[in-house]
Amino acid sequence: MKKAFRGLSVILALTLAAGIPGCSRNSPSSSTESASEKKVEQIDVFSGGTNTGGIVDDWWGKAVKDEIGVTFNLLPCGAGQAEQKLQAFMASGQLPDIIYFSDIKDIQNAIRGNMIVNLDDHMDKLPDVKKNVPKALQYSRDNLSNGTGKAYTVTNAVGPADIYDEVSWGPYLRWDLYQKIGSPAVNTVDDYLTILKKMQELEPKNKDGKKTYGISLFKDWDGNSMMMGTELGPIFGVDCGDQLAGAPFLQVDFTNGQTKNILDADSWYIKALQFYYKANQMGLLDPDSLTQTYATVSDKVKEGRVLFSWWPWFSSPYNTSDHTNADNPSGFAAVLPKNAKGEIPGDNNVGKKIGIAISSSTKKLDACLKFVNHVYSVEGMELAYNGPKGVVWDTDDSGKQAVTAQGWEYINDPNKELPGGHSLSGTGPFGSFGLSSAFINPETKEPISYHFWETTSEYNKAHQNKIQKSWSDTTGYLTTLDYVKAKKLYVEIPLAQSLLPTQPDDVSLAASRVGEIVKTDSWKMVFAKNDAEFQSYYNDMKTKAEGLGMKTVYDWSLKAWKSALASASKYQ
Amino acid sequence: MKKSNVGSMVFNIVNVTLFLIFTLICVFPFYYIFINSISDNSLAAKGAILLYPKGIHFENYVEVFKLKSIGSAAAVSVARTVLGTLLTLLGSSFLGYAFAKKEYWKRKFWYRYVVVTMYFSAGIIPWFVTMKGIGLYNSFLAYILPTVVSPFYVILFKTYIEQIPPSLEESVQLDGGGYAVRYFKIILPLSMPILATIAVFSCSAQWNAFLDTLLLVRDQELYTLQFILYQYLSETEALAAQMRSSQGTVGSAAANYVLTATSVRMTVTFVIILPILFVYPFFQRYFVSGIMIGAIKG
Repeated sequence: MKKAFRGLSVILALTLAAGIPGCSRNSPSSSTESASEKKVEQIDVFSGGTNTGGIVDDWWGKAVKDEIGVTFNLLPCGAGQAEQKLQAFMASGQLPDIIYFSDIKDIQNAIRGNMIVNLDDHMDKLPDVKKNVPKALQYSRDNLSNGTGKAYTVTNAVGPADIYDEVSWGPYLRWDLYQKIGSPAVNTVDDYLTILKKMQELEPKNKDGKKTYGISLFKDWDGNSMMMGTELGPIFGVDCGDQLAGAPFLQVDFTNGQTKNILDADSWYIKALQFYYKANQMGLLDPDSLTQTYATVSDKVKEGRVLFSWWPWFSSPYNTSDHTNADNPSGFAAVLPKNAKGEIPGDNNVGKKIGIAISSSTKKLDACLKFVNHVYSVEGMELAYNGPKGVVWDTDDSGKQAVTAQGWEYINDPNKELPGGHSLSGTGPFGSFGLSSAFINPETKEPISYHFWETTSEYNKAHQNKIQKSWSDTTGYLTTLDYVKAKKLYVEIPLAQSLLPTQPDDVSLAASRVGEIVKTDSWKMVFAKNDAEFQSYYNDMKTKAEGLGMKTVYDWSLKAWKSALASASKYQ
Repeated sequence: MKKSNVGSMVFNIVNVTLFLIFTLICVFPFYYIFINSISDNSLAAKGAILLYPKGIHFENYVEVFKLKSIGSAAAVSVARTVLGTLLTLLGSSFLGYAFAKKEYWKRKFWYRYVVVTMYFSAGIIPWFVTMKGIGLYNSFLAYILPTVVSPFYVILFKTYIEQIPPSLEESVQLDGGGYAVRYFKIILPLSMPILATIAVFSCSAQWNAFLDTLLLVRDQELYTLQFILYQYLSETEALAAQMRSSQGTVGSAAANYVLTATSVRMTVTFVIILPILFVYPFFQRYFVSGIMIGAIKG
């Protein structure tokens, strides 16, 4: 017994001993570099747009350390817990050194609680911000300052529209199969269904023997309505909630400005549901659509089990070179309808709502200011968009920028690691770039990102894969963007889209209540067994939505859109 | 005679079959995770591995142990499980013992005061503000101090002690033993079953906890294994949440997310659940001994 007593007291002592080093966790996080003169400081960053955490130790982190002497500790925010964690920080009154806000309400609360720094007081340390994004700063002073008229946060992605070779909406079809069935023209939306049926008959199974489907949907991105139901309208310039998620249930035709409720019988949202319903009747729709997530569908696309895609980034996982440059090449390319007016991003001098801010309780104000300035400087964005100079790209003697041969390897292989760690994409300033990639570099007169350089165009022309070549030969244009711009098959998303006011609480609550009904009934309509069932679900959806407050939400959305249009004219 | 033999045979068959099915249902998820972690990665991603592994290799495990910060995360997880459980056992059991003593001043009031905290919780934000206020933000102590007194374990222990015959304690008391001596020499050794039970609960809770890491930790050195797993498994959910709340182009944000391969996630899952699977068998022998102690009336 005595031995047991002794043993227990030893354990207790060990416990206390182990606990004590845990107490002094708040070790000083600024270290001095003995080799160089520069002092390196570490700052904590909190951003809802990331899903990793810890010290940023990849090529981007190291390059930023060399350039401005700042390293980063990214605070984790988990899946969908970012908002909760931010609220917890705000409740305690102390925010991490750098915060990225995505909700105007949070910004206003932070200003009211004196939790973020007034950037106007430090404009001398933010020269690039002042030089490059003056209109965005003004927007911030007018709208994101809780009435004080000072800039507390700066919005991101400021600059000309950054569309690369592909457009935001296609649709994109399996080009090889499309050619095999004779490349029929697409005059109406329903023509896609006949085309898909023939394509599915040509290739009913993929090379692993699994069934292929014309269309495969997913439901985990549904917000206040069935997200996939909002993807047909944008092909014709009509937005039913994809770009206008902040104005629930509002449909706006960007070509003529007309507005409508998405539950009206002739809205493009209902037309999309009818499109999917008909696809299901014809056996083109993946029955798993009702339950699967984006990750599952993405895998199916990679395996060649899906033949249709609204967006280029959705189908591009299939376009690897062992498919597109094979002896029997296969891959996705754009097949637009005759009277397409696809939505493409417009220029944005005001930035998207995601704003960067500095905590007023930070002990490393200089380091934070240096970082904020870096994210709005041309050099900083050159690094973030293109990778390190001398590794991925370089300037020749005449000052022209070009991607190096090694650089193309990094770009084309998403898994290849740069020296320093991590692949080229998937890292950078925490999911939020200060300047848009099309921002013009005043020295080179070309946009920052390598996508737009003249040298890149030349490279692309010489390196088209078989599918791209076939597409170019058929249409006569190098890229989908060239084609769309030349034939005027597009409409620009108006600036008002990023200037929608925040929803008041009663509207958001009503919107999510109505949204539940809209989502459930929309999916039921798509999988209805016959026209009568389709109609009955539609009637049910309309009646229930009206009962749950659709009018309140729609009236607010319409008013919000009109006020956004008015404020857009100020910053145009 | 014959009828009852047939009857009992039928009963046995049905009984064994039902429990076999039940066992399979319990064991299959672990088996599934295991075979997916050792199979060829592309097959696992397609979901082609169902009943038996194909293309067996152990590369995934090598890769997982090379992951940055998994070594320190493992150390932190083990430390908090061992230390946290020890502290919980000592703290909760001593308080349970105190509450079992009738001479405790205002015993009923204090007991109910402790128990009522089990029913009410103010929510995450007040909890966070409290923890920050008492200095437990970004500290290892935040993992082990809050659980030292747990009302549920206090109740368990108090109830268990109350059925230990008081004559055992009285004999030591007569010899001049104080509370501490009685507690460490008589009560604790006799309470092995209940201590083992509480230990199993506490080990599981400590090993599986990640919400405190998510909200209270800033330094990478304090990440636990469970938290690293959570980050991997929640990637797709994080992307979905981002999409739902994003007010801009759906596509460009997708490019910023890195989705790890299915097989790597399976491997990380398996590595993390393995240690806790061994806890119960280790403690099981303590359950058996001493369970009959209350039955013998002398």
